[in-house]
This record gives sequence, C-alpha cells and structure tokens, in this order.
Amino acid sequence: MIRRGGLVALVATVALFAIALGARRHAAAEMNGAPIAVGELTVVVSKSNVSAVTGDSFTFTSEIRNSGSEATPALIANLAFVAVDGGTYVDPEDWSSERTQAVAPIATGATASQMWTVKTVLAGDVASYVVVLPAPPALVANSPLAVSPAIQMHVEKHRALNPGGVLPTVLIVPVVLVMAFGGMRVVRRFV
Amino acid sequence: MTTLTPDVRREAASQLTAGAGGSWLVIAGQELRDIWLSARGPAIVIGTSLLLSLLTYLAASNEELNIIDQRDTVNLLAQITMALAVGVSLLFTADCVSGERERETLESLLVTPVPRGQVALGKYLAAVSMWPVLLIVAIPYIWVLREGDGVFADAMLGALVVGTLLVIGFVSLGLLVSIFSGSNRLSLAVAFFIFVLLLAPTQLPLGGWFGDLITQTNPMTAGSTFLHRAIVKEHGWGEDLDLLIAPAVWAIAMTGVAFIAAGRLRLQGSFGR
Repeated sequence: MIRRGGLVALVATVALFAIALGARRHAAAEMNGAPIAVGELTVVVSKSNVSAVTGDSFTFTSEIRNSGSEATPALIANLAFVAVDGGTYVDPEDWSSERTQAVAPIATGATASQMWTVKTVLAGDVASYVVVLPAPPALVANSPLAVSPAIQMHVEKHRALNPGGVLPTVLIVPVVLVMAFGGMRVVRRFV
Repeated sequence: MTTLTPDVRREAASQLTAGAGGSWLVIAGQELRDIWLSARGPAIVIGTSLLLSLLTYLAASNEELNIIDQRDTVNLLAQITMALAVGVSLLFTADCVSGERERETLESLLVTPVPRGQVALGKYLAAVSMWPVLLIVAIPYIWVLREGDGVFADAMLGALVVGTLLVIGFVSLGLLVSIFSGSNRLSLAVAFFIFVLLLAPTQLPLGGWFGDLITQTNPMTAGSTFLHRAIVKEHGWGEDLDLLIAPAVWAIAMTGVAFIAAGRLRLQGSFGR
C-alpha cells in the first residue's frame, strides 16, 4: 500500500511539474495575445440560504453573464463546498455527484445557466459556491476566476423513526413470513 | 439431505416399475417437504428477511451509509441475497449424499430401483428451491430502496440471471463434493472452503492484468462485477455480457461433472472415510 502510495505521489508530482511548465509557457504566449475574458464574467446563483436536514436534496441554478466586449473561450464551472463552522468534515463528492460542468463560449452580453443538485449529507454549516475558469487551452497560470456569491447551508441532523419510508417494509416482511410459516405448521398439525 | 421414508422408496420404486420415469419427482417432493415443512427452510428465510430488514433500515437512517448512492445500496442488498442463497443451497447439497452415508441410510437408498442420477436430480432441485424463495423475499426491500428509473428492474433481472447461474454451479459443486466425501463434516468443510475461496476476491480491489483475469474467470467476481455495472453504473446488458461467460461455464461444467459422478455414486466415499 505504502509503495503504491509513493508511486502515485511520484507520478502526481511529475504530472504537476509538467502541467506547471506547460502553463508557464502558455502564459508567456498569452501575454502578447488577447486577454482572456473571464475577468468580465459575473456569476450569480438562484439561492442564498438553505435550511435542510441530513439526507435532503435541493437544486439551484447558476447563471454566468459575459459583460465583456468579446466572447469568452470555453469555460468550466465547478461547484465547491467549504465548512464554515470549522467542525464539519466536507467531502465534496458526497455533497454533489456532478460538480463540474463544461460551458460553451458565451457571446458578449449573453448568459449561460447551469443546474446543480446538492445532497446535504452531514449536519453543520456549509457554504457552497460556483467557480468559473477558462477551459484549456485558454487556461493559464494567472487566469482570473469568476466566483458566485456563497450559498449558506444550515443542515440539521435528521432523526426520524421512519427514514425514507422503509419502516413498514422492514417490520412487515419478517412478521408476514413468521405468520406464513407458523400458519403452515398449525394447518399441518390439524390436517 | 434427508432420509427417505420407506413409503417414498416404495412410491419411487412403483413409479419406476410402472414406467413413469418420474422417480426424481418423488425424491424432489420428499426433499422439498423436508426443507420447507421442517424448521430449516423457514428459519433461513426468516433470518434472511431480518438481515435484509436491518440492512435496509441502516441504509435509510445511518448518516454515514446515507452518503452511499441509492443504486449502491440496492446493489448491496441484491448481492447479499445472492451470496446467502448460494451459500445455503451449497450447504444443502454438500450434506445430501455424505449425510445419508453418515446416517447409514445411503445403502437402502441405493438398493431402491431408482437410477442414481434421478436420486441426485431430486436432491439437487430441492436445494435449488431456496434461491427463488430468497429472491422473492428480497423484492420488497429492493423496491422500497429503489430511486430513479429502472433501478428495480435492473436489480431484479440482474440478480435473477446471475444468481441462477451461480446457484446452479454451486449446488452442483456441493453435490459433487458430497458424492466423494466419506463424512459429512469433510463434505461441508470442503464445499464451504471453496465457496469462501471464490467469494473472497469480490471484496478485494482487483486491478491490473491479474485482477482482470480473476474478475473474468472467477464466477463469483464476474457475476458480482456484472451486477455492479448493471445496477450502479447503469450499463446496458450488452456491454458486459462477457462477464456472464464465467458463471455460465461454471454452471454448465459443474452440473455436467456432478451428474456424471452421481451416475457412479458408491456406498463408500472416496475421501475422509
């Protein structure tokens, strides 16, 4: 396991080094070219506060507006999560299964919308926001990012006797089986 | 598995003499009664339903398990049902000949004018009967946990196909081991050991060419991977048909070998006397 971890770390280091080298070379090339329009983008989200219980799901939309003077390159929108109460462990993959969306180039004055689904898996205070960055090859080391306002989520622990409506099933099935087999034995005794 | 009563032996003998050729039906009927009208079958079914109830409730209520995707939970339930059915059916047939041998009732069974292959077939069918019953018990749990289109159908159809192939293969394995075992203890131990040996890789992270080889050739890992891809990954059935080759070959080969061996069933076992 440790050996495999070391190998992964080595490969990741080499890959990061290569990406950094490529990005620096690309950045140098961009210095003389047209500036990337991401700095002219504004991102808004359809919710600002959400109160939920663990296990709930909700959706919201983000809208990217290009208020610059030229069309954007292809973009990547990413949904990020951060615990703001300092104690909640947040694994973004658990909170949303689809956190990255490709966005086609946006013309001047136009907007693009994305829909996101969030599942509140743990109790606590968590903020969520959408980050927009240019997709490669427009992505360079110092590309400006566009960020939406944060959605503040307050998640309470869900304590229910009948979570997901499964209680009747988990009780009734064994009882029905006991009654069925017990009934068979009783009938056999009298027949 | 059980001792055939003199009535059953007489019934089988009279059917054979009359040319009915259905002695296996008589034996299967007696074995089925022995499983389902005694405490054994019902106890296993009720125990399975209690286990599935516990897992279902945990999956729905536990915070950590809540993180698991609904399709993963359905897949877990389907695989547990399948593994239980395979294990229980295997142990039933692992006992069926060596048990008679140990209880010294095999001799009287062998002198009955019933072909040995038909004796084996009757016991085999009775052991296989556990699988459809457990699958039916799992239906309400999978139904209540399903979320999204097609999860229930994927799970039930996948479990039916993969489970049937695996149960047929492992029931045949149990029969084969039982035919050659001199003692019931040896038969149960060998059969259960092979079951665990083939089941264990399903819990390992298999990767690389060796992992792929095991996944493709071990009927348990192939079946489990097929089910996982059909239920969790939402793969179409045509995409992973190659994963059904190992369970199908396992079922056909083991059944063939077991019934060839059953035709040469002897009073004494070859091992562990």
